[in-house]
Amino acid sequence: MTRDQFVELIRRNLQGSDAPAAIRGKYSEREIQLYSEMAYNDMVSMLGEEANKTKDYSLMDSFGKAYKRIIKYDSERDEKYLDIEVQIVPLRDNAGVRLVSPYKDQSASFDYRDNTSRSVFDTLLVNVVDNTPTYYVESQRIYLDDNVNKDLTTIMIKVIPLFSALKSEDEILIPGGENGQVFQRVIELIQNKERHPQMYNNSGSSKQI
Amino acid sequence: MGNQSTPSNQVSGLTDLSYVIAEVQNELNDYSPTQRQRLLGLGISILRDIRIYNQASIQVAYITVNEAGVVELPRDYIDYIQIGVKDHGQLRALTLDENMLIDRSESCAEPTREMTHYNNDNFYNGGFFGLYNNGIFTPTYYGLGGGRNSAYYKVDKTANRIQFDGRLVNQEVVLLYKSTGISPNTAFGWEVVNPIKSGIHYKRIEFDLTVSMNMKALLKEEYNEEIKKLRAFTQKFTLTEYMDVYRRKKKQTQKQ
Repeated sequence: MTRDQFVELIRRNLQGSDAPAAIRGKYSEREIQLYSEMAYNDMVSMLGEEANKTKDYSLMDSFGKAYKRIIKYDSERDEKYLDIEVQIVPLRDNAGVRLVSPYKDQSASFDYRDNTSRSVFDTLLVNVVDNTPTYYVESQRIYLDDNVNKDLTTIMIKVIPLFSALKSEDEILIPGGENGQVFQRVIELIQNKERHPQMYNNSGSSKQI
Repeated sequence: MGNQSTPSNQVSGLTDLSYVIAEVQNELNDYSPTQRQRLLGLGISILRDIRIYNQASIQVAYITVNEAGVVELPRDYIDYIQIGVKDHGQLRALTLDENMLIDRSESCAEPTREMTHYNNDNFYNGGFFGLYNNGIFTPTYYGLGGGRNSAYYKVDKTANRIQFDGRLVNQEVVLLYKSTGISPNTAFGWEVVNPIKSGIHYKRIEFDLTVSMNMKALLKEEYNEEIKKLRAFTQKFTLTEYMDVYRRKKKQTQKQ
């Protein structure tokens, strides 16, 4: 199912008799799209948490999309980097970035390091015994270390894009057996808003809870 | 006799930390790129401990002693195994002299210490064949106490050097020492894989408050077991080697 089909399905569902009467037919397509986006991102986030527990990352990989990127050089910082160019789902350990590797050799994938852990790992001699390139994520860029082969120019990244970063014809993945849950999640989000509007509308008033 | 060459399709007899980490990740069923660097860091510290306490990575250095009788310790030196000189294809050990004065004085970045040469109690300086015992010349080694040598050493680890006194042929000494072996080419035998692996499994949860105490105790026990196995493997010898050592020390004499 494409992204547009996904939104349309939820819109029809909310307008149909399956939806609770309180919210039935009450929301515009644009609003439904935003709620769908929230539900989708929540679902990916839950799958990420689940994958961390079970160590089964196969579903996460299914959400990933591959992109070809060129290595650039930041002369001010003296660091190599590449632009992600799509917004990715923020997850723990930056698990929204599924893979960074040479474009033609995924088996030589790079290791992830938290930005602040770099000096610790360098002190621990990790760089001495192992020359696997590492990366860290900073906003919309992936920075690489000096272990990257000098002749390497193109990189493959596999990332989980935010729902909003998907194109209308992009395929949407819903894990098997979870179809109903996605609709349920959208309805819950809308009902939550009805009950706790302050969570969703910030007027800027300091009195607001 | 057939083909006596070794089979070419076998994997190397040595492996490295990357292989061990791959095994750990496989056992954890965690193939994500986020943990690998941490596991490597743990692996390095465990390998270092194994090298120091259980299975030394032995290195040898042939070093020229300067006029001050001082040599710098190799960069990867941890502890010495033997300090000696070349002697007809063998290493003849020198003697530790704990009373030797530590002299770190320098002038223009050169040590000002002077090497002391011993004249009397020296087997190897030529011409000596006896000793004066209470003023009586005894033309044999009989009655001569031990602990005498052609040259003596004292390790000054704080200053990262060894001092020598005595006489050294060509001013050259041979240093057999323990190293961590941690380098870009860090390699070890397959017998070290399991101890490192079980050490990583233990160390990765040692300070995790969510892991139960009995799980930690189990992993620690397994690590200790693997270390014991490694020690047994490292210290093993063949029956022939045992008999050779045994017989070399035996001689036919009267029973005391």
